[in-house]
Amino acid sequence: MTDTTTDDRILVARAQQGERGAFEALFRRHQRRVFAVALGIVRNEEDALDIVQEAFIKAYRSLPRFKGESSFFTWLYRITTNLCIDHGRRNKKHRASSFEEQRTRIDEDGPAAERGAAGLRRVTSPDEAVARKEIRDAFRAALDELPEIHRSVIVLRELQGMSYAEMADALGVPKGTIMSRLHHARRKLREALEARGIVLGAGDGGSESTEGATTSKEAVVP
Amino acid sequence: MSHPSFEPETLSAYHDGELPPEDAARVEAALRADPKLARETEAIDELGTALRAVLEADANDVPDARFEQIWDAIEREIDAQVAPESTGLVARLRAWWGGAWARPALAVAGVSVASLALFFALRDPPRDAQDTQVAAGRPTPAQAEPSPEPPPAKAGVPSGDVAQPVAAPTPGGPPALAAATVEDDASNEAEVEFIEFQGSSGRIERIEGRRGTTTVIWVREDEPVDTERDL
Repeated sequence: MTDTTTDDRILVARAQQGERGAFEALFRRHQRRVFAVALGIVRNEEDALDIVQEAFIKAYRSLPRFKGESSFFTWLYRITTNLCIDHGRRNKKHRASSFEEQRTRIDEDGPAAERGAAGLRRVTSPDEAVARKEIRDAFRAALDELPEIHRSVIVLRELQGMSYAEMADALGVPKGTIMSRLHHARRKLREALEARGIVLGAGDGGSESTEGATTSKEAVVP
Repeated sequence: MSHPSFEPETLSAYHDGELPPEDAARVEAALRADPKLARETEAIDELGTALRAVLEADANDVPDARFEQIWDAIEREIDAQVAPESTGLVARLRAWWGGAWARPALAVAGVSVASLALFFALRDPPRDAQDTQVAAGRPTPAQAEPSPEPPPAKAGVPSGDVAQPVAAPTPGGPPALAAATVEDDASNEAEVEFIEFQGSSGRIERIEGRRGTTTVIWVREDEPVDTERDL
Protein backbone atom coordinates (compact mmCIF):
# COMPACT_ATOMS: atom_id res chain seq x y z
CA MET A 1 0.00 0.00 0.00
CA THR A 2 2.79 2.40 0.95
CA ASP A 3 4.78 1.58 -2.19
CA THR A 4 1.69 2.09 -4.31
CA THR A 5 1.01 5.40 -2.62
CA THR A 6 4.60 6.52 -3.14
CA ASP A 7 4.52 5.46 -6.77
CA ASP A 8 1.23 7.27 -7.19
CA ARG A 9 2.76 10.44 -5.78
CA ILE A 10 5.60 10.26 -8.27
CA LEU A 11 3.22 9.61 -11.14
CA VAL A 12 0.90 12.39 -10.01
CA ALA A 13 3.82 14.85 -9.85
CA ARG A 14 4.89 13.87 -13.37
CA ALA A 15 1.31 14.06 -14.64
CA GLN A 16 1.00 17.53 -13.12
CA GLN A 17 4.03 18.52 -15.19
CA GLY A 18 2.03 17.50 -18.25
CA GLU A 19 3.44 14.02 -18.80
CA ARG A 20 0.65 12.10 -20.49
CA GLY A 21 2.33 8.73 -19.94
CA ALA A 22 2.33 9.23 -16.17
CA PHE A 23 -1.39 9.83 -16.15
CA GLU A 24 -1.90 6.81 -18.35
CA ALA A 25 0.10 4.74 -15.84
CA LEU A 26 -2.23 5.96 -13.08
CA PHE A 27 -5.19 4.95 -15.23
CA ARG A 28 -3.75 1.47 -15.89
CA ARG A 29 -2.99 1.00 -12.22
CA HIS A 30 -6.43 1.93 -10.94
CA GLN A 31 -8.80 1.21 -13.83
CA ARG A 32 -10.14 -2.13 -12.62
CA ARG A 33 -10.31 -1.11 -8.99
CA VAL A 34 -12.21 2.03 -9.86
CA PHE A 35 -14.49 -0.07 -12.02
CA ALA A 36 -15.07 -2.56 -9.19
CA VAL A 37 -15.94 0.27 -6.83
CA ALA A 38 -18.30 1.82 -9.37
CA LEU A 39 -19.90 -1.51 -10.19
CA GLY A 40 -20.28 -2.30 -6.51
CA ILE A 41 -22.24 0.90 -6.06
CA VAL A 42 -24.17 1.45 -9.32
CA ARG A 43 -24.68 -2.26 -10.12
CA ASN A 44 -24.56 -1.84 -13.90
CA GLU A 45 -21.50 -2.68 -15.97
CA GLU A 46 -21.83 -0.08 -18.72
CA ASP A 47 -22.74 2.65 -16.26
CA ALA A 48 -19.75 1.65 -14.14
CA LEU A 49 -17.46 1.87 -17.19
CA ASP A 50 -18.87 5.30 -18.01
CA ILE A 51 -18.12 6.34 -14.45
CA VAL A 52 -14.54 5.08 -14.78
CA GLN A 53 -14.11 7.27 -17.85
CA GLU A 54 -15.74 10.27 -16.24
CA ALA A 55 -13.76 9.84 -13.01
CA PHE A 56 -10.39 9.85 -14.78
CA ILE A 57 -11.33 12.81 -16.96
CA LYS A 58 -12.42 14.70 -13.88
CA ALA A 59 -9.23 13.68 -12.07
CA TYR A 60 -7.12 14.91 -14.99
CA ARG A 61 -8.89 18.24 -15.08
CA SER A 62 -8.48 18.65 -11.33
CA LEU A 63 -4.84 17.49 -11.20
CA PRO A 64 -3.43 21.04 -11.05
CA ARG A 65 -5.48 21.60 -7.89
CA PHE A 66 -4.55 18.25 -6.29
CA LYS A 67 -2.23 19.10 -3.39
CA GLY A 68 -1.56 15.58 -2.19
CA GLU A 69 -3.23 16.11 1.19
CA SER A 70 -4.85 12.70 0.77
CA SER A 71 -3.49 9.85 -1.30
CA PHE A 72 -4.27 9.84 -5.00
CA PHE A 73 -6.48 6.77 -4.75
CA THR A 74 -8.51 8.22 -1.87
CA TRP A 75 -9.02 11.32 -3.94
CA LEU A 76 -9.83 9.30 -7.06
CA TYR A 77 -12.30 7.08 -5.21
CA ARG A 78 -13.93 10.14 -3.73
CA ILE A 79 -14.47 11.43 -7.27
CA THR A 80 -15.73 7.98 -8.30
CA THR A 81 -18.08 7.68 -5.34
CA ASN A 82 -19.52 11.14 -5.95
CA LEU A 83 -20.12 10.25 -9.59
CA CYS A 84 -21.82 7.02 -8.49
CA ILE A 85 -24.06 8.92 -6.10
CA ASP A 86 -24.94 11.44 -8.82
CA HIS A 87 -25.61 8.57 -11.18
CA GLY A 88 -27.85 6.89 -8.63
CA ARG A 89 -29.94 10.01 -8.28
CA ARG A 90 -30.37 10.25 -12.04
CA ASN A 91 -31.03 6.61 -12.82
CA LYS A 92 -32.76 5.17 -9.81
CA LYS A 93 -35.53 3.50 -11.74
CA HIS A 94 -33.50 2.38 -14.72
CA ARG A 95 -30.76 0.74 -12.69
CA ALA A 96 -32.53 -2.35 -11.39
CA SER A 97 -33.85 -3.52 -14.73
CA SER A 98 -30.62 -2.93 -16.62
CA PHE A 99 -28.63 -4.88 -14.05
CA GLU A 100 -30.98 -7.80 -14.53
CA GLU A 101 -30.27 -7.67 -18.26
CA GLN A 102 -26.56 -7.43 -17.66
CA ARG A 103 -26.57 -10.33 -15.26
CA THR A 104 -28.50 -12.44 -17.70
CA ARG A 105 -26.03 -11.56 -20.43
CA ILE A 106 -23.02 -12.45 -18.28
CA ASP A 107 -24.62 -15.71 -17.27
CA GLU A 108 -25.24 -16.58 -20.89
CA ASP A 109 -21.57 -16.01 -21.61
CA GLY A 110 -20.79 -19.22 -19.77
CA PRO A 111 -17.06 -19.93 -19.40
CA ALA A 112 -16.13 -16.25 -19.78
CA ALA A 113 -18.29 -15.39 -16.82
CA GLU A 114 -16.70 -18.12 -14.76
CA ARG A 115 -13.16 -17.13 -15.70
CA GLY A 116 -12.98 -13.92 -13.74
CA ALA A 117 -14.36 -14.99 -10.40
CA ALA A 118 -11.44 -14.98 -7.99
CA GLY A 119 -12.92 -17.90 -6.16
CA LEU A 120 -13.59 -19.82 -9.31
CA ARG A 121 -10.03 -20.25 -10.47
CA ARG A 122 -9.70 -23.32 -8.30
CA VAL A 123 -12.73 -25.03 -9.73
CA THR A 124 -12.19 -28.75 -9.64
CA SER A 125 -15.62 -30.11 -10.37
CA PRO A 126 -18.83 -29.09 -12.16
CA ASP A 127 -20.69 -29.23 -8.85
CA GLU A 128 -18.27 -26.77 -7.29
CA ALA A 129 -18.55 -24.47 -10.30
CA VAL A 130 -22.31 -24.47 -10.03
CA ALA A 131 -22.17 -23.83 -6.29
CA ARG A 132 -19.76 -20.93 -6.72
CA LYS A 133 -21.79 -19.43 -9.50
CA GLU A 134 -24.82 -19.58 -7.24
CA ILE A 135 -22.89 -17.80 -4.51
CA ARG A 136 -21.77 -15.13 -6.93
CA ASP A 137 -25.33 -14.64 -8.12
CA ALA A 138 -26.57 -14.52 -4.55
CA PHE A 139 -24.04 -11.81 -3.70
CA ARG A 140 -25.05 -9.78 -6.73
CA ALA A 141 -28.72 -10.03 -5.80
CA ALA A 142 -27.99 -9.22 -2.16
CA LEU A 143 -25.95 -6.18 -3.14
CA ASP A 144 -28.80 -5.01 -5.36
CA GLU A 145 -31.08 -4.99 -2.35
CA LEU A 146 -28.88 -2.71 -0.29
CA PRO A 147 -29.53 1.03 -0.31
CA GLU A 148 -26.85 2.90 -2.20
CA ILE A 149 -25.49 4.65 0.90
CA HIS A 150 -24.84 1.24 2.44
CA ARG A 151 -23.31 -0.20 -0.71
CA SER A 152 -20.96 2.79 -0.87
CA VAL A 153 -19.50 2.27 2.58
CA ILE A 154 -19.16 -1.48 2.39
CA VAL A 155 -17.56 -1.33 -1.05
CA LEU A 156 -15.11 1.39 -0.03
CA ARG A 157 -14.23 -0.49 3.13
CA GLU A 158 -13.94 -4.01 1.79
CA LEU A 159 -12.62 -3.27 -1.66
CA GLN A 160 -10.39 -0.31 -0.92
CA GLY A 161 -9.61 -0.94 2.72
CA MET A 162 -10.39 2.69 3.47
CA SER A 163 -10.32 3.80 7.08
CA TYR A 164 -13.43 5.36 8.60
CA ALA A 165 -11.75 8.77 8.42
CA GLU A 166 -10.98 8.33 4.72
CA MET A 167 -14.54 7.20 4.02
CA ALA A 168 -15.94 10.11 6.01
CA ASP A 169 -13.77 12.41 3.91
CA ALA A 170 -14.75 10.69 0.66
CA LEU A 171 -18.47 10.66 1.38
CA GLY A 172 -18.64 13.95 3.23
CA VAL A 173 -20.26 12.59 6.39
CA PRO A 174 -19.07 12.30 10.03
CA LYS A 175 -17.02 9.29 11.12
CA GLY A 176 -19.82 8.15 13.43
CA THR A 177 -22.19 8.00 10.47
CA ILE A 178 -19.72 5.78 8.62
CA MET A 179 -19.50 3.44 11.62
CA SER A 180 -23.27 3.19 11.80
CA ARG A 181 -23.79 2.79 8.05
CA LEU A 182 -21.15 0.11 7.79
CA HIS A 183 -22.69 -1.88 10.62
CA HIS A 184 -26.13 -1.70 8.98
CA ALA A 185 -24.71 -2.49 5.54
CA ARG A 186 -23.06 -5.65 6.84
CA ARG A 187 -26.14 -6.71 8.74
CA LYS A 188 -28.45 -6.18 5.76
CA LEU A 189 -26.09 -7.91 3.36
CA ARG A 190 -25.85 -10.92 5.64
CA GLU A 191 -29.63 -11.05 5.97
CA ALA A 192 -30.04 -10.88 2.20
CA LEU A 193 -27.52 -13.70 1.77
CA GLU A 194 -29.19 -15.79 4.45
CA ALA A 195 -32.48 -15.37 2.62
CA ARG A 196 -30.71 -17.07 -0.29
CA GLY A 197 -29.36 -19.90 1.83
CA ILE A 198 -25.87 -18.53 2.44
CA VAL A 199 -24.92 -18.32 6.09
CA LEU A 200 -21.69 -16.68 7.20
CA GLY A 201 -19.86 -17.06 10.48
CA ALA A 202 -21.40 -20.39 11.39
CA GLY A 203 -17.97 -21.69 12.34
CA ASP A 204 -15.78 -24.54 11.17
CA GLY A 205 -17.37 -27.73 12.35
CA GLY A 206 -19.47 -25.91 14.90
CA SER A 207 -22.90 -27.05 15.90
CA GLU A 208 -24.51 -24.28 13.82
CA SER A 209 -22.65 -25.19 10.68
CA THR A 210 -24.84 -25.42 7.60
CA GLU A 211 -24.32 -26.50 4.04
CA GLY A 212 -24.64 -22.87 2.97
CA ALA A 213 -21.92 -21.73 5.31
CA THR A 214 -19.53 -24.43 4.14
CA THR A 215 -20.20 -23.52 0.53
CA SER A 216 -19.60 -19.84 1.15
CA LYS A 217 -16.28 -20.49 2.85
CA GLU A 218 -15.02 -22.41 -0.20
CA ALA A 219 -16.25 -19.75 -2.57
CA VAL A 220 -14.32 -16.90 -1.04
CA VAL A 221 -10.90 -18.53 -1.37
CA PRO A 222 -9.11 -16.49 -4.06
CA MET B 1 -25.48 -9.15 17.06
CA SER B 2 -25.98 -7.07 20.18
CA HIS B 3 -24.05 -7.38 23.42
CA PRO B 4 -24.95 -6.02 26.85
CA SER B 5 -21.65 -4.18 27.32
CA PHE B 6 -21.39 -2.33 24.00
CA GLU B 7 -23.33 -1.02 21.01
CA PRO B 8 -23.91 -3.28 17.98
CA GLU B 9 -21.70 -1.03 15.78
CA THR B 10 -18.79 -1.53 18.17
CA LEU B 11 -18.03 -5.08 17.06
CA SER B 12 -17.90 -3.97 13.43
CA ALA B 13 -15.58 -1.09 14.36
CA TYR B 14 -13.42 -3.49 16.40
CA HIS B 15 -13.10 -5.77 13.39
CA ASP B 16 -11.99 -2.80 11.29
CA GLY B 17 -9.40 -1.71 13.86
CA GLU B 18 -11.20 1.57 14.43
CA LEU B 19 -11.67 1.41 18.21
CA PRO B 20 -9.49 3.20 20.75
CA PRO B 21 -7.31 0.78 22.78
CA GLU B 22 -9.49 0.76 25.92
CA ASP B 23 -12.67 -0.04 23.93
CA ALA B 24 -10.83 -2.69 21.91
CA ALA B 25 -9.65 -4.34 25.15
CA ARG B 26 -13.24 -4.44 26.38
CA VAL B 27 -14.40 -6.13 23.16
CA GLU B 28 -11.53 -8.63 23.28
CA ALA B 29 -12.53 -9.65 26.80
CA ALA B 30 -16.11 -10.16 25.63
CA LEU B 31 -14.92 -12.20 22.65
CA ARG B 32 -12.94 -14.54 24.92
CA ALA B 33 -15.99 -15.07 27.08
CA ASP B 34 -18.54 -15.51 24.31
CA PRO B 35 -17.88 -17.89 21.36
CA LYS B 36 -20.99 -16.63 19.53
CA LEU B 37 -19.56 -13.14 19.56
CA ALA B 38 -16.28 -14.50 18.21
CA ARG B 39 -18.16 -16.11 15.31
CA GLU B 40 -19.75 -12.74 14.56
CA THR B 41 -16.32 -11.25 13.87
CA GLU B 42 -15.54 -14.23 11.66
CA ALA B 43 -18.74 -13.58 9.74
CA ILE B 44 -17.75 -9.95 9.18
CA ASP B 45 -14.41 -11.15 7.89
CA GLU B 46 -15.96 -13.72 5.57
CA LEU B 47 -18.46 -11.21 4.25
CA GLY B 48 -15.69 -8.81 3.28
CA THR B 49 -13.59 -11.51 1.65
CA ALA B 50 -16.54 -12.82 -0.35
CA LEU B 51 -17.58 -9.34 -1.44
CA ARG B 52 -14.06 -8.57 -2.64
CA ALA B 53 -13.89 -11.85 -4.54
CA VAL B 54 -17.21 -11.24 -6.29
CA LEU B 55 -16.52 -7.63 -7.26
CA GLU B 56 -12.95 -8.33 -8.35
CA ALA B 57 -14.23 -11.24 -10.42
CA ASP B 58 -16.73 -8.94 -12.09
CA ALA B 59 -13.97 -6.42 -12.74
CA ASN B 60 -11.73 -9.12 -14.20
CA ASP B 61 -14.50 -10.09 -16.60
CA VAL B 62 -14.14 -6.79 -18.44
CA PRO B 63 -11.80 -7.32 -21.40
CA ASP B 64 -8.66 -5.17 -21.67
CA ALA B 65 -9.93 -3.86 -25.00
CA ARG B 66 -12.83 -2.19 -23.22
CA PHE B 67 -10.43 -0.28 -21.00
CA GLU B 68 -8.41 0.65 -24.10
CA GLN B 69 -11.57 2.22 -25.52
CA ILE B 70 -12.03 4.13 -22.30
CA TRP B 71 -8.42 5.37 -22.35
CA ASP B 72 -8.87 6.49 -25.97
CA ALA B 73 -11.94 8.47 -24.95
CA ILE B 74 -10.05 9.99 -22.02
CA GLU B 75 -7.18 10.98 -24.33
CA ARG B 76 -9.59 12.67 -26.72
CA GLU B 77 -10.98 14.68 -23.80
CA ILE B 78 -7.47 15.58 -22.66
CA ASP B 79 -6.50 16.68 -26.17
CA ALA B 80 -9.63 18.79 -26.45
CA GLN B 81 -8.82 20.36 -23.11
CA VAL B 82 -5.11 20.93 -23.67
CA ALA B 83 -5.33 22.55 -27.11
CA PRO B 84 -7.35 25.63 -26.26
CA GLU B 85 -5.84 26.11 -22.82
CA SER B 86 -2.23 26.02 -23.92
CA THR B 87 -2.56 28.49 -26.78
CA GLY B 88 -5.84 30.33 -26.41
CA LEU B 89 -5.36 34.03 -25.91
CA VAL B 90 -8.56 34.30 -23.90
CA ALA B 91 -7.47 31.44 -21.64
CA ARG B 92 -4.03 32.96 -21.18
CA LEU B 93 -5.53 36.30 -20.30
CA ARG B 94 -7.88 34.53 -17.90
CA ALA B 95 -4.94 32.73 -16.32
CA TRP B 96 -3.06 36.00 -16.06
CA TRP B 97 -6.09 37.66 -14.51
CA GLY B 98 -6.34 34.79 -12.05
CA GLY B 99 -2.77 35.34 -10.85
CA ALA B 100 -2.46 36.68 -7.33
CA TRP B 101 -0.33 39.58 -8.50
CA ALA B 102 -2.53 40.61 -11.42
CA ARG B 103 -5.15 42.68 -9.64
CA PRO B 104 -2.76 44.63 -7.41
CA ALA B 105 -0.61 45.24 -10.50
CA LEU B 106 -3.63 46.56 -12.36
CA ALA B 107 -4.48 48.80 -9.44
CA VAL B 108 -0.95 50.23 -9.48
CA ALA B 109 -1.14 50.64 -13.26
CA GLY B 110 -4.50 52.38 -12.92
CA VAL B 111 -3.14 54.85 -10.40
CA SER B 112 -0.14 55.49 -12.67
CA VAL B 113 -2.34 56.13 -15.71
CA ALA B 114 -4.55 58.47 -13.69
CA SER B 115 -1.47 60.35 -12.47
CA LEU B 116 -0.11 60.66 -16.01
CA ALA B 117 -3.48 61.85 -17.30
CA LEU B 118 -3.58 64.48 -14.59
CA PHE B 119 -0.01 65.48 -15.38
CA PHE B 120 -0.71 65.90 -19.11
CA ALA B 121 -3.98 67.68 -18.45
CA LEU B 122 -2.23 70.28 -16.34
CA ARG B 123 0.75 70.90 -18.62
CA ASP B 124 0.80 72.77 -22.00
CA PRO B 125 0.02 70.81 -25.14
CA PRO B 126 3.06 69.51 -27.03
CA ARG B 127 4.52 71.96 -29.51
CA ASP B 128 7.30 70.23 -31.34
CA ALA B 129 6.75 67.75 -34.13
CA GLN B 130 8.43 64.80 -32.42
CA ASP B 131 6.07 65.01 -29.44
CA THR B 132 3.07 65.05 -31.73
CA GLN B 133 4.27 62.04 -33.64
CA VAL B 134 4.88 60.04 -30.51
CA ALA B 135 1.68 61.05 -28.79
CA ALA B 136 -0.57 60.64 -31.79
CA GLY B 137 1.30 57.94 -33.60
CA ARG B 138 2.03 59.87 -36.80
CA PRO B 139 4.84 58.09 -38.60
CA THR B 140 8.11 59.76 -39.23
CA PRO B 141 9.38 59.70 -42.80
CA ALA B 142 11.73 56.91 -41.79
CA GLN B 143 8.92 54.85 -40.29
CA ALA B 144 6.87 55.19 -43.47
CA GLU B 145 9.36 53.02 -45.35
CA PRO B 146 9.30 49.23 -45.03
CA SER B 147 12.22 47.68 -43.28
CA PRO B 148 14.74 46.29 -45.76
CA GLU B 149 15.47 43.28 -43.54
CA PRO B 150 12.62 42.63 -41.15
CA PRO B 151 13.54 40.55 -38.10
CA PRO B 152 12.05 37.03 -37.79
CA ALA B 153 8.56 36.69 -36.36
CA LYS B 154 8.01 35.32 -32.84
CA ALA B 155 5.77 32.31 -32.57
CA GLY B 156 3.25 31.61 -29.86
CA VAL B 157 0.34 33.98 -30.23
CA PRO B 158 -2.81 32.51 -31.72
CA SER B 159 -4.53 33.71 -34.80
CA GLY B 160 -8.22 34.04 -35.34
CA ASP B 161 -10.34 37.07 -35.01
CA VAL B 162 -8.47 38.45 -32.05
CA ALA B 163 -6.10 41.34 -32.37
CA GLN B 164 -2.42 40.48 -32.76
CA PRO B 165 0.32 42.19 -30.81
CA VAL B 166 2.86 43.95 -32.98
CA ALA B 167 6.09 44.91 -31.29
CA ALA B 168 7.27 48.21 -32.69
CA PRO B 169 10.76 49.42 -31.88
CA THR B 170 11.18 52.23 -29.50
CA PRO B 171 12.44 55.48 -30.96
CA GLY B 172 15.83 54.91 -32.48
CA GLY B 173 15.06 51.38 -33.69
CA PRO B 174 14.85 50.29 -37.32
CA PRO B 175 12.04 51.75 -39.42
CA ALA B 176 9.43 49.13 -40.18
CA LEU B 177 5.87 50.19 -40.81
CA ALA B 178 3.72 52.31 -43.01
CA ALA B 179 0.62 53.80 -41.50
CA ALA B 180 -2.58 55.36 -42.75
CA THR B 181 -3.52 58.39 -40.73
CA VAL B 182 -6.61 60.47 -40.28
CA GLU B 183 -5.96 64.18 -39.98
CA ASP B 184 -7.79 66.12 -37.38
CA ASP B 185 -8.01 69.60 -38.87
CA ALA B 186 -8.95 71.28 -35.63
CA SER B 187 -6.01 70.09 -33.58
CA ASN B 188 -3.60 69.48 -36.44
CA GLU B 189 -2.99 66.03 -34.94
CA ALA B 190 -3.54 62.60 -36.51
CA GLU B 191 -4.62 59.14 -35.43
CA VAL B 192 -3.12 56.02 -36.96
CA GLU B 193 -5.86 53.58 -37.93
CA PHE B 194 -4.21 51.18 -40.36
CA ILE B 195 -0.68 49.96 -40.69
CA GLU B 196 1.21 47.87 -43.20
CA PHE B 197 4.06 45.70 -42.06
CA GLN B 198 6.03 42.80 -43.48
CA GLY B 199 3.69 42.41 -46.41
CA SER B 200 0.61 42.40 -44.19
CA SER B 201 -1.80 45.03 -42.98
CA GLY B 202 -4.34 45.61 -40.29
CA ARG B 203 -6.29 47.95 -38.09
CA ILE B 204 -4.77 49.17 -34.84
CA GLU B 205 -6.87 48.03 -31.94
CA ARG B 206 -4.91 49.59 -29.13
CA ILE B 207 -1.44 50.54 -28.02
CA GLU B 208 -0.54 48.47 -25.00
CA GLY B 209 2.65 50.26 -24.13
CA ARG B 210 6.22 49.31 -23.40
CA ARG B 211 7.50 45.78 -22.95
CA GLY B 212 11.12 46.27 -22.10
CA THR B 213 12.69 48.06 -25.05
CA THR B 214 9.73 47.64 -27.43
CA THR B 215 6.31 49.18 -27.75
CA VAL B 216 3.45 46.74 -28.15
CA ILE B 217 0.66 47.65 -30.53
CA TRP B 218 -2.36 45.37 -30.93
CA VAL B 219 -3.40 45.02 -34.56
CA ARG B 220 -6.39 43.20 -36.01
CA GLU B 221 -4.81 41.83 -39.14
CA ASP B 222 -6.66 41.73 -42.43
CA GLU B 223 -5.30 38.21 -42.92
CA PRO B 224 -4.56 36.81 -39.45
CA VAL B 225 -1.53 34.61 -38.85
CA ASP B 226 -0.24 32.68 -35.87
CA THR B 227 2.71 34.82 -34.93
CA GLU B 228 3.70 37.67 -32.74
CA ARG B 229 5.64 40.01 -35.02
CA ASP B 230 8.64 42.16 -34.53
CA LEU B 231 8.82 45.15 -36.75
